[in-house]
Amino acid sequence: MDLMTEVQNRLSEAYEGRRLWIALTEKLKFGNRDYVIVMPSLDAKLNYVSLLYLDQFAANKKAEKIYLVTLDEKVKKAYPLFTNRLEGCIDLSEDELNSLIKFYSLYMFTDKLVIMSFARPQGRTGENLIGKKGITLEELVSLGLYQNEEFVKEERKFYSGTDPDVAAFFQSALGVSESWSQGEGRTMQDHRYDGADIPRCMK
Amino acid sequence: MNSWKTLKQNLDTLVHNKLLDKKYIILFGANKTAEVMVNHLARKGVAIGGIIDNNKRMHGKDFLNTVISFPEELLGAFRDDAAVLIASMYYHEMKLQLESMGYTEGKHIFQVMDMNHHDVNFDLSEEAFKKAEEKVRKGYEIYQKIIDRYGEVSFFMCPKKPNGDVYILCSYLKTYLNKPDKLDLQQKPILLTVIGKSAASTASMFDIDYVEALSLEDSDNLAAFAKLFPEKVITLHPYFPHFHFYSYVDGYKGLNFIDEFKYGLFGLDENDKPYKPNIVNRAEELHKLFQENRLEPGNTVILAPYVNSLAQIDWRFWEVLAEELQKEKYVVCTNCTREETPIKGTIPLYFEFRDAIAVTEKAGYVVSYRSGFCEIIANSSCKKVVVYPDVMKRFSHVMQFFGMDEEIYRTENLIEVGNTFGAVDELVEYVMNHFRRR
Repeated sequence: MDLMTEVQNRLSEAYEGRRLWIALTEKLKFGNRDYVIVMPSLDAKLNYVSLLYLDQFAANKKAEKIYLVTLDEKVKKAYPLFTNRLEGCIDLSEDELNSLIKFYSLYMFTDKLVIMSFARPQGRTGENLIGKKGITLEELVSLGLYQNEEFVKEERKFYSGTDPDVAAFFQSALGVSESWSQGEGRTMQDHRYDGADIPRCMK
Repeated sequence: MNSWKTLKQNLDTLVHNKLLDKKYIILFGANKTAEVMVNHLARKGVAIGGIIDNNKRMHGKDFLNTVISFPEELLGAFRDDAAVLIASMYYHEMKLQLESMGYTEGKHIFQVMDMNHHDVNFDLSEEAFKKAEEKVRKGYEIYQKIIDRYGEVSFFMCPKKPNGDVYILCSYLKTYLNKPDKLDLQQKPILLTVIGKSAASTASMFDIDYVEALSLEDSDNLAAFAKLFPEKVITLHPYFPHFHFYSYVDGYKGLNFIDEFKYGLFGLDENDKPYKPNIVNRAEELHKLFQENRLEPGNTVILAPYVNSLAQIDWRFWEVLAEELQKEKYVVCTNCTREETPIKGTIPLYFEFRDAIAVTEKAGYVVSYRSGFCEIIANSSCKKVVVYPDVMKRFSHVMQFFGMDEEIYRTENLIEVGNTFGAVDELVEYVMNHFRRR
């Protein structure tokens, strides 16, 4: 495919993202203090930390309504264990999410869309800072992605419930890296998973 | 810089329309634009009532002889005579904050310049989309033209103008390209686009295959294309809005500007070393420059007061310093372009970047405000006194964030001074302590 055609394709995708954003904000009666948090990554650790610091973001921004967009089904199940500030999650297909990010890549049309990713929009490189000068993933998420003014460490959350997806999410997030040293910050405030907590996604 | 011209014109309009008459004028945001506004309004006989900023690390700091306050401190008790001037990319949020305190846009809140003209535009209209689309198309044409001229290249761009930033980028570009996982990039000639001839001169010192100087507009258009085609054009700047988030972690745990390039953008490690620029010594030109300007080798102080991206200090500092240096029998000159005014009583001195190291080494001394000029003379062995404003860059003082005690600079004759002094004379005295004859 020649480059000019590809330019047109990407612009069309961005246009689709615009249409989607307008439709979403109209449907949700989006206000000045409402936000959409997008978690495009399937990286459990990043998504876990993003959920862990979401309440701080909500408080700092004095957010009224916050919606979540994620492709990770486990995140959809697990988020009520981290926060009660979310109105719910918006169910978008991968193509729809891609078009939204493509629109964001074209120009910053809003400051109410927060993309919790170090790789998207494509070209972000911030994750290279993890481990440099003692900077942690949590700090980068809180300060860099959520733009909090200061870093206030959150206590980690653990799960001892029976839902296999949620258990797998916690396992992937907490068990894959040595930097999450065993027991560090552990408070034993386990969150029991209750099937009734399954969030309903909006379309 | 054209944007400053726009800013000043917009301020003139406010003054002309008497919107600032008998008003309690507050500037929101202690930044470079605030400095331009303070100085421009002062020239128009308009005094400001205060400067506000939400950054608690800036709270209480002196900014051009005005203490920085929180918005609530100056505007918490509603003042109907308030006129809050804003030139910030966070205008929207600032406006909301002020509106929640009872202030109204157009009556109390004025956006004196749209800082988001290219990358941030909270506008969902078809027109806004088409404008953005047009930029991408123009960017594509620029990209194609460059490719047609040079053939297949590894294409990099520096989307910001400052020379210092270009210097830092170039210092690490080859280190980055020499990494084993960058083989695909190494196999083609390297092309770097920069903004303006001055930045091109800086980049040319680093043996990059092709350096292409673009206009600001062309560079912005190319950047718009690069955002949609990052696999075609690699954009190298930590403040490439709105993709990166470096500005929100500036200074955190000592993370400085060079770290953001070296570790963040290039993904390098502590052991990776920068490349040094090629230093030329054009002896004949050097001799001519010294002779024509009656400069004395080893006894000349070059003052470099001009800066684009940091708030300027009180200009009187330079004038008093020049006088004091002359009393000590130094030859004193000002490094300036032909459009800039030399410091009163000093010799205007213009030289090319490629000669900067030789010139400063022969002169002996430089006193510079922290600017890109400090990168141009990074490897000069002359005695360098670098003055920083007393402001914060997010989590750290500017002197730490842009500090020069780093591997790309020669530091054996470096003296860095944060302007935390209460008065100009104290700062002059401090600097002069390094120049007094024994």
